[in-house]
Amino acid sequence: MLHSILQDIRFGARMLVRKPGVTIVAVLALALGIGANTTIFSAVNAILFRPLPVRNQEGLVVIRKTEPDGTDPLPFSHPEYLDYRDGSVAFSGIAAWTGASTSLMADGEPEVVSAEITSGNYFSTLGISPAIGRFFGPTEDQVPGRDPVTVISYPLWQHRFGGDPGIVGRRIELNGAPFTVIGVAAREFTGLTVGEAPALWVPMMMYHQIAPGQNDIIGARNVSGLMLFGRLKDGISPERAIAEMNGIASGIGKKHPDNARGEGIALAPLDGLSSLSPGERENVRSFVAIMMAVAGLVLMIACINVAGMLLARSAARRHEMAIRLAIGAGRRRLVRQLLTETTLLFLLGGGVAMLMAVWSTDLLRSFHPPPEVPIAIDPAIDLRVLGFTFAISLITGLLFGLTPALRGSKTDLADALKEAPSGDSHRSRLRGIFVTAQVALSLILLIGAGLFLRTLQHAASIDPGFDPDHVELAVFDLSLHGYDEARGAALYGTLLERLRATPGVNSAALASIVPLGFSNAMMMLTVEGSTPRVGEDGFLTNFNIVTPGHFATMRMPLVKGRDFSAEDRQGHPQVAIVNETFARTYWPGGNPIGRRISMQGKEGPFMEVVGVAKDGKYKSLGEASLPYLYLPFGQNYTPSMTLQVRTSGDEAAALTAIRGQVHKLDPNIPLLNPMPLSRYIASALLPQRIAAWVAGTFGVLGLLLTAVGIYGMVSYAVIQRTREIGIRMALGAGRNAVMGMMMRQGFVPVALGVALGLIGAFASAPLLASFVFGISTFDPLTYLLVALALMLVALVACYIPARRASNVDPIAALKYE
Amino acid sequence: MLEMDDSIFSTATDMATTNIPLIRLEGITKVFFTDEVETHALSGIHLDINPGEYLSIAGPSGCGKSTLLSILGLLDTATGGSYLLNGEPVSTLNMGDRSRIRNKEIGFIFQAFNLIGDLTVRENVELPLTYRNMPAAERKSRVEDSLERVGMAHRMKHYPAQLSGGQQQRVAVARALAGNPSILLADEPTGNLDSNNGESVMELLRDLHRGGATVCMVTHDPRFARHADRTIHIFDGRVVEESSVAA
Repeated sequence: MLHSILQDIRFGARMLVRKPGVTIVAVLALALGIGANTTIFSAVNAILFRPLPVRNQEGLVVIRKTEPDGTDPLPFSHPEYLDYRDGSVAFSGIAAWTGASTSLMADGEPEVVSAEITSGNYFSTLGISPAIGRFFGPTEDQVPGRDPVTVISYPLWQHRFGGDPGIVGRRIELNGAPFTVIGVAAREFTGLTVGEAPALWVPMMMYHQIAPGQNDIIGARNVSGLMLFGRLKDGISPERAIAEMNGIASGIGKKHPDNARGEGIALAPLDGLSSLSPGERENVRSFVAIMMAVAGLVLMIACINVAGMLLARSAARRHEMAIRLAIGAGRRRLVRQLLTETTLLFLLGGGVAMLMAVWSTDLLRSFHPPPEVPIAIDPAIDLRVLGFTFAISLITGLLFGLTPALRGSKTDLADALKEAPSGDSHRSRLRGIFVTAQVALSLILLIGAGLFLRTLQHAASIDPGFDPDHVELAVFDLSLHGYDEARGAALYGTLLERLRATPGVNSAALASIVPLGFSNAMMMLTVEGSTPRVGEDGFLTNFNIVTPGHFATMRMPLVKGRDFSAEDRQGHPQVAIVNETFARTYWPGGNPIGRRISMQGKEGPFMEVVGVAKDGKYKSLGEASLPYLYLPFGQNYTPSMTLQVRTSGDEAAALTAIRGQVHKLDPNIPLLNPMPLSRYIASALLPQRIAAWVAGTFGVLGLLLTAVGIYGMVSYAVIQRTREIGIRMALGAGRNAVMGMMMRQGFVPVALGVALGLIGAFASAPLLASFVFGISTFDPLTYLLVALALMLVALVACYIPARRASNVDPIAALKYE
Repeated sequence: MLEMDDSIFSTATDMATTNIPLIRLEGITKVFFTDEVETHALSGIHLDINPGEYLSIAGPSGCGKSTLLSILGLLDTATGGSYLLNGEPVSTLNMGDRSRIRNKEIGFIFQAFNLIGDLTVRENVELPLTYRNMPAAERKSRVEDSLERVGMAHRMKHYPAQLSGGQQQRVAVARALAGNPSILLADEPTGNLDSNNGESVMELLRDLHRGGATVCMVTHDPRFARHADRTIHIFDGRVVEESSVAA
């Protein structure tokens, strides 16, 4: 048995070498299909499957507090964390962490980096070891502000400190406070959330140094913000742990009834998506599923394509199969022989795909998203990716090699041995079916790409409600530089004053939120005269804190009332500006000016609406109009603001001016992420751009493979029908008649494929709904144009062999067998 | 240039009354060039075929008789010499015109029948008529008429594979007749048949000839050659002998 299998493999390898043309084309087609999947899977692997580099990940669970109705998870306060940690016997350790940004100063260069603020047992609970130095110990988890130590990430060590072997013990500044580096995390450890890579970790007790001005997260029970995870003791089931944690929750509720809301506790396996909200996790999974589906379609097209080639080759080997059968080979043996050859071919394709994937993942890794896009994914090729590639090569080889093998091993012995023409119209029909399938899949792929492209095209024509051209942005967070409210407000005021006087600057303002970015702020609002829904305290509303001049700088018209002014400051009547939708929603038909709203509940204090701004797009270009609220910076100081400067055109000069002014005011304040507003809002379409790029690239790939498939089918038909063509020509058929006949043969399965593809695209369109906006997922123009384009390509693919058929020499054709 | 109008070709009867040969070959040569080797398949063939005549072309295998038939049937072009069909030169016609003449003036009968396996008997016979854009009703009538003439009307809906070799060749004859051509060119029409079926097909050709058809048949079998009014013998690409059977 083993000997005969080895014989099959040897013979299969020889057959592949003997027909290098077919082998190369098939291997390339497979490499493209499998390579596309490997590349996408390497990213999916990094997002969904790659285990965290921790000891025994199965024992780690994320601990979530849930609302009484079991919905959105809530963060924990530090005292609560201590209650759970100290009250639990089911866990060998429970750790807490939260994210923050911090200003890192080393060697005189300030830089804002992301950090994780963690409990002292964070690393020990995870069960990981440092690359060098040590992690936090129990003593560093006890006294607030006493132990300014930090563990830095491997990339930060390499890039910022040049891999300095003496980094342990070195002093750096975080938010102006000195910290000592005590260790470097292992290269593979990049935090607990996929796509986010903290540059450093600091102990929870140093929270106020890292997040100055924030609420007392360490001591206050009503200030939440921590995420928890724990390691279950051996033999403890999650159910038992949940019961225990719920018991602790109940005890906390009784002990602190003021803060109790009847929350429950849920456990989930700790993975890279654990810290995301359920909605975010769902979005990630949907996106990943769409990308895998796109790559899967390309693979299917490639496999069907190769199956068509194998079918043609099995026809050419009819005589050989007949001889094998005649000398006593069983059909099962022949099927095995042919399947072995096919599997070898697919594995070869998989091997080349792997090489292509190494290149393409390197390309992906070299792509650094713009600073405004906080994503860091490492699509490295690991054993799982290798296994995936091997598995799909093997499975598709067996699956798509079976039909050609079955057809190839079934032959009329007498005819085949005489090498008489087979007249095997079944093979032609099969190839026609293959083409239909390829066209249908290709059309689905291209329509998806078309919808994404049309979304992008439409996005360009959507009015965001402001003019993004010639506006420069720069982010500041004065809390990272030791500024209190008075000093911060003064610095911002002076900066704006100086910038407005700078040549080339038309206007300047500050805002806490830049529309269409990755940040957003919401608050619960009381609207005088409006009653919230039962069980709710108010109306959850998106808001922005802005300085006077914001609307003018953004060219966001005020349709009623006035802009904020310098008079709108502390000690003066509190004011607000709402957008049109806000006014329409809460005061339909009425005049919003002079109406009152409150952030503090129905008892006030109240703010008076002094203006109505035109509606705009705030979170995404595809959103429906949202109620939106603007608050004056003068009455709502926040240290983290984004500078908005409208220039007369010369952006570089404006940026230099901004840098100069900031440096004059405080040389320690870095200008974070300076960029034009137009570039910033472009990131709002990042998912659509990625989807359009992937679907477009793979769509073109699929189309190319389909065109090759159509060409192959018609070419095969021409060979099969050569004698018939000769007869027809002898009977008076002209070139056009022959060409028409072959074109029809090629185009009928194409037309059928287009029809099936349209049905498939209709059926799958709802899956794209969350990524397509501005147009319907059934957009007739996209469907029509894509179908026409595909048919045009199909026509060309049919035309070339059909034209060759029309040039057949009838005498040669009549002799053809 | 030969006009493609139907009326340009006189009927066999017209031609007979005016004594113009249906086909006139003068000094036809055919040379095949393969690599640097020249093969002279035909050398200076002179031949007239009169309307209503039954001519057989005999000779051993490889003597050039099938090449001659291909040139007569406009499937191939001569290297030299002139070919007049109905008094009109056809050597210089383009591919399209040659196709149209083949369709209207020539009926082929092949040794291997050359029926199309995926078409029924009816569709096979109808095939040459479809290239003329003939109205469906006329096609139907011609197909039925042709199949009646060869005794195959009852097998109209069958596929070639369901017929015997003799029946297939009868269908091929019906197909050749359907277009009402000026001449039937038969290339070893009995070559793939047993003697009974071979005789039967030869009888059919003779009947057609008696009905006024012009027939030119290639055969290497002297028994079948004797069915013709006249036989030319070819050897090494030349006509070496011509014999006639007294009426």
